[in-house]
Amino acid sequence: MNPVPSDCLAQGHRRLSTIRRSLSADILRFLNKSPENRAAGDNLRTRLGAFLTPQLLCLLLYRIAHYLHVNGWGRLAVLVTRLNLLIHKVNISPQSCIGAGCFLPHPVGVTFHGTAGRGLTLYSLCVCCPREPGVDGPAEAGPRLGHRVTVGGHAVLLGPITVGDDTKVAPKVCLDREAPAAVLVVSKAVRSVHVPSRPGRGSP
Amino acid sequence: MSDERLTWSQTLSRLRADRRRLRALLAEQGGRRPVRLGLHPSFVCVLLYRISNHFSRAGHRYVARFFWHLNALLTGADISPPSDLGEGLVIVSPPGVTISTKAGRNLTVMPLAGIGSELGRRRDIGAGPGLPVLGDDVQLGPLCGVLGPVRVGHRVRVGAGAVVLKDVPDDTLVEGPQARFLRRADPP
Repeated sequence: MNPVPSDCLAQGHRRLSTIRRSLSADILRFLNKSPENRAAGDNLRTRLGAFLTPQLLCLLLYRIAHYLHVNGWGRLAVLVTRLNLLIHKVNISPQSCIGAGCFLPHPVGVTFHGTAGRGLTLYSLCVCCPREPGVDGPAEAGPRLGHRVTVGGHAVLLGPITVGDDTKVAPKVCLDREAPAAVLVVSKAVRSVHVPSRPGRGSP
Repeated sequence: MSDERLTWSQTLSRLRADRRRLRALLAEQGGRRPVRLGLHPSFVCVLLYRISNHFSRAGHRYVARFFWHLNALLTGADISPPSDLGEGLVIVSPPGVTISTKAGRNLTVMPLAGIGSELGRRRDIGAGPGLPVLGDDVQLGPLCGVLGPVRVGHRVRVGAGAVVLKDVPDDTLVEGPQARFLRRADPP
């Protein structure tokens, strides 16, 4: 069995009440994400409506899988992770340790194997995984993200790197080295090339 | 892509090689040994592809299509049935992976990699119109793409986010775009 990281135990991930608290923070983050959601208010009905969205159901399954993993029920944890993969097409390994207030706007295709602090945002199709093939080893092989980190769509974070607090990784960036706190990580700008239209072919 | 028929024993032999390679990769990572490797999503994805490929080569297109759809439904991977992928295939995280090509032995596909044709280039170099041909021991990084009629040599490693649009010789590392840091304009 993979050893459980000490900071994961310090956050109380071995207790069932932590799942409830973390999910509550996830729902609150979801409800505060846009003016429309904020206008709906924070009551039982809006919380239940938010809870039934795929964004939060996939986090619920991940948090249950992580709880089972930390408590030594590894096979059950893997089963719940497989269920998450089957239903939501999200691959968050049970070894991963993610803090409260996580937000996945479009969960399909997200792959995460590492550790992250509070207020993590993972946009669609982003990948955080070890450098070598496979997402079944210890979470330390993957990236270690600080608090309030945002990973843009189609971004890749590879290997055991550390990303500082409040850092934003722009879409389509491949990051395989340490990133300091409070920076914006960008990649080469997209180049547009003018293609003259040929007569008789019409516009594309 | 090859239209040569495969017998069940040939398909099973390829599957056994896929299973051996996945087991070796999992053992290298030192993680928990799966209770049943047959239920691992990476293996389920490869198993369904091998079955669809078998039926596709036998001429049962509708059965092949059924297993192709089942694969997309269960694992989220889109591997076209006529694709000719050699033994030792490992797909690390199946959701979002798209493959339509001819490849040699020991192909490793990391999350969200895409191999196939692109618009406009329809030349056939042995895998079908506009499709690439990959050599042995190729490793494709996360979110990379190999597009169009290109030849990728043996023991090539394509880095994360790289897009291959021209031929790559043997023993090459293709690097993706490098990241750079900017001070945030809206510090917290």
